[in-house]
Amino acid sequence: MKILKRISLRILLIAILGGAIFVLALMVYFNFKQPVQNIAEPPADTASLVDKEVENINLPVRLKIPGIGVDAAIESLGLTAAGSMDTPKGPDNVAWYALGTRPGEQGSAVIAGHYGKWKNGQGSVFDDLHKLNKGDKLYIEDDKGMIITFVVRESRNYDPNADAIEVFSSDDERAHLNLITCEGIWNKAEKSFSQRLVIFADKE
Amino acid sequence: MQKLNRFLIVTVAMVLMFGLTESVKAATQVPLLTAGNFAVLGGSTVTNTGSSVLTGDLGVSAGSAITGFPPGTTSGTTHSNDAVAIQAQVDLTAAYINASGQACDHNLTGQDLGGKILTPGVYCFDSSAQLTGTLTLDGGGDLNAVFIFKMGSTLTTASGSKVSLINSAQSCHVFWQVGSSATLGTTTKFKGNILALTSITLNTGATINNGRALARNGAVTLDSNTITKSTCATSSDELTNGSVNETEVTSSDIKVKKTASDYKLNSGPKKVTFTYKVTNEGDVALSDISVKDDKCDDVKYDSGDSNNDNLLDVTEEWKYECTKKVKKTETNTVTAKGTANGERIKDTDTAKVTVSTPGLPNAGSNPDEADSSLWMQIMSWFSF
Repeated sequence: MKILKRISLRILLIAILGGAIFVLALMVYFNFKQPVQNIAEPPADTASLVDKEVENINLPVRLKIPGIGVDAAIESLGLTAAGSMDTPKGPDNVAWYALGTRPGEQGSAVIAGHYGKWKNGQGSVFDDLHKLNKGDKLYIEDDKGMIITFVVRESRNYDPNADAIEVFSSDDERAHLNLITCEGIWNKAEKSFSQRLVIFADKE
Repeated sequence: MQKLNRFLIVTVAMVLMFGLTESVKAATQVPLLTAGNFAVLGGSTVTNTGSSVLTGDLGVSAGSAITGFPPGTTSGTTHSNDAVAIQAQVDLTAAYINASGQACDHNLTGQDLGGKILTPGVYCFDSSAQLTGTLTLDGGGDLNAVFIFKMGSTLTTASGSKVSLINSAQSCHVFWQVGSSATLGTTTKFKGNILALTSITLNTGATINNGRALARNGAVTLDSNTITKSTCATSSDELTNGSVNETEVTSSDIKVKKTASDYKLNSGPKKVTFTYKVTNEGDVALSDISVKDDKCDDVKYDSGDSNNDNLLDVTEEWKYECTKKVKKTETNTVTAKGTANGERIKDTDTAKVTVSTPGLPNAGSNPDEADSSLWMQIMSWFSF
């Protein structure tokens, strides 16, 4: 009887230890998990889907930025009560300013996405937006499955209350896509980051 | 004796015939004497606003106040309680008594004069008279046909109503004897001599072409009217060759309405298309139409000249457009012009486009809330 007890106690301890290691391993794995898997660039030879001279621009449904692993659904949003562009409720989606230009139309289409950590430690879709460089590609997929390509031209920082006329409109006859997120330091009182980051891109 | 008898018989016969024919014509010409020199004669005052045009003398007596000239104008002389005006009032009183004394042929009490076609005679109203629409006076080919209207109290015409003369009827033979006051509604086209006991009021744009506004005791009040004193043609040639002009003066009016494709731009500057609709609100076609916007350069005619005669006809609505990129909040004004009756008239309209740019989005999440205990993290992946 005593031997049996001793054996079962050891097994029990091993089991617990094994379980703990397993749990730890899982935690380590999920902590370092990438938010999205590698996104393959759309095949350049699929002529029917790649952007061409489209006269009727459709509604955007997905934003893909392979360089920083972004593949996000696009919500259509407008203004907050205070007159600022609204933002998506969660960390994964991006928001297109639907009162303005459609991506691909002449003018400046604007898409915003969150930056920073959420309750469960999860990151936001535009956490790596600041890593984009001139020449990087952005892809908009519309509701008909067509892809429109944009090329990053520059990035700029703004105060949260800055006049954003150059972000929301343009004077040339071209199509632009501007991405907005936050950066800087979190201001607890304002419940806001200290800066806004805007990536300016032009239709290819 | 036989020659004398024959002469007498012929004379008597002629007199009788003349008398008979005369008595059939119940209305006789009312002699105005010196009051006939005036287009407007007031009793207490004459007050004018706007660019009224009088052809004939202007006077007042026993009051002496005449205001509003200019901007009103008169082709004749102005008499403010002078001997001429005093005499004119004496003659007006006699004319008034003459008209009111003529026996009534037709009692139209309670009937609207609008829509009626009347032959020469004396028409009376126990109290007030109203004109709504068009009254036609038919002279029956007789240049001397006389029409007398007598009313116990007021004469009122509705807006846009009209007196029309046909078959040799002439304004100089039309008389309105008003027991109290006469009021002509806006844009009334009136004809004849108004002899009022109290006052006469012409509302905006009413005209008396031809005729007179003669008030014994009260005021004559004018507002952008034309009054041309009537003269009598004695032959039909004078009517047709224009020596005596009974043709109606037509009014000209133009109107423009402006709309924008967007009044509120929410994302900064954007192309806006302005649409202009131009209509002719008068009686006569307008020529040389021009439409200009003070903040949009390229106004283009789109459509509307259905008969292609290059004139903005009374039934037409012409559409123009102009597109521009509105960069900041602005109000712009369109001016539409046209020509008719020898004058260039215009109308304007405005549109305000408000441009606002949204504020930058607050696209950050609170890292403090992301601090969680080990326990929270374990719980979180359990909920996958």
